[in-house]
Amino acid sequence: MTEATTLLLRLAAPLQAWGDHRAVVDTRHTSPMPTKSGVIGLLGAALGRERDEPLGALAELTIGVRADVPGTLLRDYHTVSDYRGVPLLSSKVNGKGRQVGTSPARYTMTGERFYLQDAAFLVAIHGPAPVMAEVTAAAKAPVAILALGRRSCPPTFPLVLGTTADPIADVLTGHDWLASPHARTLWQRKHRGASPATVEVSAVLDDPNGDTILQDQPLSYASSGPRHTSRRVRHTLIPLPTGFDPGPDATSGEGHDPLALLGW
Amino acid sequence: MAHLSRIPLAPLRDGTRKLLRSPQAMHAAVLGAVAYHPDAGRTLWRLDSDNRHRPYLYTVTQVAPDWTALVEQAGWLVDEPNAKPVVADYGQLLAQLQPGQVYGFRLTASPVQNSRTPQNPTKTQTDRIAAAADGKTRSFRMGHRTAAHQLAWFTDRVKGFGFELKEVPASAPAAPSILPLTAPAAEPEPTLDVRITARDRRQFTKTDSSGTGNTTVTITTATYEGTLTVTDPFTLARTLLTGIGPAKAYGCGLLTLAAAQ
Repeated sequence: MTEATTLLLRLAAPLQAWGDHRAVVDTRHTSPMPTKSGVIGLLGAALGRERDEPLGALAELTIGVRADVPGTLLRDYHTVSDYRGVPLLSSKVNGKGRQVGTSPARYTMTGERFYLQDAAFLVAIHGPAPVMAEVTAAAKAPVAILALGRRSCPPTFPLVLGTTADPIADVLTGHDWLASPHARTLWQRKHRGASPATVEVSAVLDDPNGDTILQDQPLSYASSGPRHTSRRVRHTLIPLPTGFDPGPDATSGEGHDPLALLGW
Repeated sequence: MAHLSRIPLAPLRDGTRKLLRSPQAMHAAVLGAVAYHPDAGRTLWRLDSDNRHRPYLYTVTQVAPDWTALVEQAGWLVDEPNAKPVVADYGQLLAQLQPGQVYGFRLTASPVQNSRTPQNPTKTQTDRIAAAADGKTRSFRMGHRTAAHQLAWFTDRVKGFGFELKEVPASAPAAPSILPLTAPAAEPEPTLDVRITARDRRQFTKTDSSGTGNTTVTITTATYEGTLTVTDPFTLARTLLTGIGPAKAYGCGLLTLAAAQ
């Protein structure tokens, strides 16, 4: 057994989008957390791999994702049309191999894309030390431009938070809450000014004995169509210290307790 | 002897969802707790969902309630004291009310106005006006729909409830300007410590009195919170037991007191 290392990434940006199995033609969904396929793909881009290259050691890495700030869903409605006023082309081709126009003529195509707004995730990637050293160096100086799930979603700094020898579960439990001061203010406003000492954030960890199966273990990113297989994961809630000044009613969460007057 | 109860509800149970969906069903369930008594008197209830995962049902009953059936349908099954219903003797609080005491309060009420001549009558109202033989209909009850009207509805009536609203101390005066170009502002109006924390418009169906069809009931509700000073303990006790405003069967009108913040 060789030495193992865990790389910590902070995936936070105004927009992120992590595609899932709902690959509908005109609708691009996002899953609520970074997918394993998305994160491994990001590392592949950092290493400068071609799409058709085999994944090699990248496929063996295990990951855990913690949703520090879950973000909100953005729906982006699109219309597509030809500026010349020409009908759009259909997917059919004629005898010469050229695309034919839509029939009846269709001038506008609609679509929608979903994004996560203002989310922040802590991603821990665990693997053999030599592989992780290569991956860490690449994440710090990526060959290709990195994106959080979609080309229009660049990550914000700092992307690499560091490396450690601890296993994923310990790292996710031990690392600070990634919410920015502004995100903390928004969190308090959303929770009616509550200021608890800890918050519970959800996390998804690779676990062979896990109770949930996700279909996002990458097999190939080939341009002819990516392929995935399933992996087992475990969902947990991780309590994190907030740094808030805890109020007197922080534990109960009740604003108004009529029974307290009656001695309960 | 009146009782104040708090019943924690488990929001994901089928029974609870039926009760949360319809104030009609909730009222039936609350009355079920006092059904053993031949004359149970006025029963008031309110649903507090500060935390949507842990809603609480508060009730004031004139007789001792039995929450077993409601808990079987809609209560928590966990074995924890906080998840069980609590029934407290309300007389204890009513007896200790004294003029000048300060309490925090919460009230969910249905603020309404009555008019014989609505400006934009609905179809039902038009039909009813047309059907009246001599052109004289009973006045129509219409919910106040803006926060300003809902607040005024409450503050205008406070005197008759046996308490007055505490005034919020005036904030610090504005910084003096170098050039006093405008006359100093007059004494600002006192601000009352009351706020609307939730507003809702609820629609649900109820069976006709004839039992043949369903009618739609619409109620507008507002939840008021703030601080009050007791002026007339006797009137306040009556307000606590009989409730405020209309729609008392549908979770409106129950005023509760708590320690002032």
